[in-house]
Amino acid sequence: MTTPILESCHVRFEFTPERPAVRDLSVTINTGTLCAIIGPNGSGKSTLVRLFAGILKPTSGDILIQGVNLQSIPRQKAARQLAYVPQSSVMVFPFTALEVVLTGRSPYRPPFRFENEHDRKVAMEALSMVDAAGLAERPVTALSGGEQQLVTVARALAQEPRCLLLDEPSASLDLRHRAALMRTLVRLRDTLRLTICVVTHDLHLIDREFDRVIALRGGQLVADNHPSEVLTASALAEIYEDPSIRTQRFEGRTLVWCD
Amino acid sequence: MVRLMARFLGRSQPVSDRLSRVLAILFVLLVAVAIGSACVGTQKIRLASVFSDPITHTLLFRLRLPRILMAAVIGASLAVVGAALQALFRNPLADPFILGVSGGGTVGASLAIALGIGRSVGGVPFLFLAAFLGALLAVFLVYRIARVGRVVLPGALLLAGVAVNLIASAAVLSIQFFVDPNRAHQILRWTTGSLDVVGFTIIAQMGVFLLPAWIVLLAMGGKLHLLAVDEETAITLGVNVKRSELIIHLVCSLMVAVTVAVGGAVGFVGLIVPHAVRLIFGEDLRIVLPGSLLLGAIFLIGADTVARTVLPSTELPVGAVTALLGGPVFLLLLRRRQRYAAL
Repeated sequence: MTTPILESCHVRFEFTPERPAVRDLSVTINTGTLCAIIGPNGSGKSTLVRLFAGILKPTSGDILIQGVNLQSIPRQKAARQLAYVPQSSVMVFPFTALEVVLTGRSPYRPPFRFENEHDRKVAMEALSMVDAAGLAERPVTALSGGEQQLVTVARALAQEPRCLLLDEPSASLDLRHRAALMRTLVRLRDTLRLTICVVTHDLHLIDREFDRVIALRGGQLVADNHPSEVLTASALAEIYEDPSIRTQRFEGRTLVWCD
Repeated sequence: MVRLMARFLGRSQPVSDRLSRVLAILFVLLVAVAIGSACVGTQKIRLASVFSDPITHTLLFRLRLPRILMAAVIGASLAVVGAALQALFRNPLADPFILGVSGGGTVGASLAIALGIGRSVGGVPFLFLAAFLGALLAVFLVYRIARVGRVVLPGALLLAGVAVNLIASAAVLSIQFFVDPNRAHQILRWTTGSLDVVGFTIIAQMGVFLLPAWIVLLAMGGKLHLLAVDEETAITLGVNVKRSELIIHLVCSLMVAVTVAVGGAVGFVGLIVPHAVRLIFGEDLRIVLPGSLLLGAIFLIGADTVARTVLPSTELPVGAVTALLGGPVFLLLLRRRQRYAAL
């Protein structure tokens, strides 16, 4: 069954009118897909997920979630459907990891109420899902960049969303944790049927488990297909405008490098 | 002791339980400090003779209690504003005077003193009005500079506030230079803060502004908590960041303008108290805001009691005491915290 959960219809977004970050972009993301968003720096990847997350409002065009215009839904209600993991969040105050994860429960809370036992249970489960239950009582300012990233992913999961948007989640992770995070995302899709969009530069981690790759260049869609179709030397050469990109299949994975 | 506190107030406990315990502890402390402060002074008060001795009665109800209440109200306001601004700017060094409010208020008050205008308008001394207008003018100026279109840039806001404060202090120094020594001394007393007050009238007038402001700020606790963790995430969690920022800025500016107008620029309270609350009771803004409100009151009552009792013949400016008392305590707390982090 393929029902669209997230759609952008002819979306344009501009910080300045001369240089739109996203131009006439129409993509449809179906429920339960694990989708990578790739493209060179400045191609509009982050802008696209931030539009999907509702942080940015389209200059023209519409973002739809389950067929309803995102702008017409109260933010708190939208936050029960959509969760966003920023590229990096600077933690200033030593909140405990659990406190940070619990903020993800706020869309479910009536005003002027505190978290209840159920919220705390969901938050702990979210931490366990990313193998970070041991961090619960630690101050986030004392955690490594990678551990902080896990905590923000857990915070997003605590929102119990149907759709998870991640902006370069692996940027501050080491090799092992990158792979672990990708495995976690695959598991979340398979067990909870989450729809997941990941902005990433780790082309080699987009393996057979991904359902789809959306490639942007200059704010426009240049490729939207199964990974096996996009992760080829010719397609990538066009996306990154670099003819020296090489690919090789190796044990079911696609290795990508630049000569 | 520390372990007992950790179990009692431990951050793993639900927020609602911790909040009621924190409030109970601080409230008891507040009452104790207020009673203690009422009894000491150049003239000792024995609570037993309050109703039999008219002099004691007057001393208590015309001078001491109003002053304690004033210290409580101003300390609470400055501390809760400090806590809110630190969270809003995600900057632990933010303080109530960062928006240029104190500078503007001081210039207004200095001008009033220099020109010797002693009248009152509608029961409010002209000095207070001048300070209030100066403070509001500074806030307006800072906002105009920091605003681009409909967006207020936080970095520009902080810098503009610092610049306005610097210009203001230069202006105050110049004014002091031109007036006679007696008035210069009066201005100096005012710039360091002073809680001289007779009767409850002015406190009631402050309350008209401050009570609603407290309520608004405490009601914003949940939103401020999300903002303090991460601004961008707060947007996705349903916080209208621009509107919240605007409300908090306006309410904070108003509160500081009122306190500066009446008590002068009492420094350090808004910086230290929220830190102390966070170090002892944890980071959750829904605890930090009401906790700062109460601890701010406790702290300023204590500091003012020291200010008026430590010297036999005269009293110190309370601003000097808050800095001298608060600074070392702050450093001690900081050091202990570092040791914990190292373990």
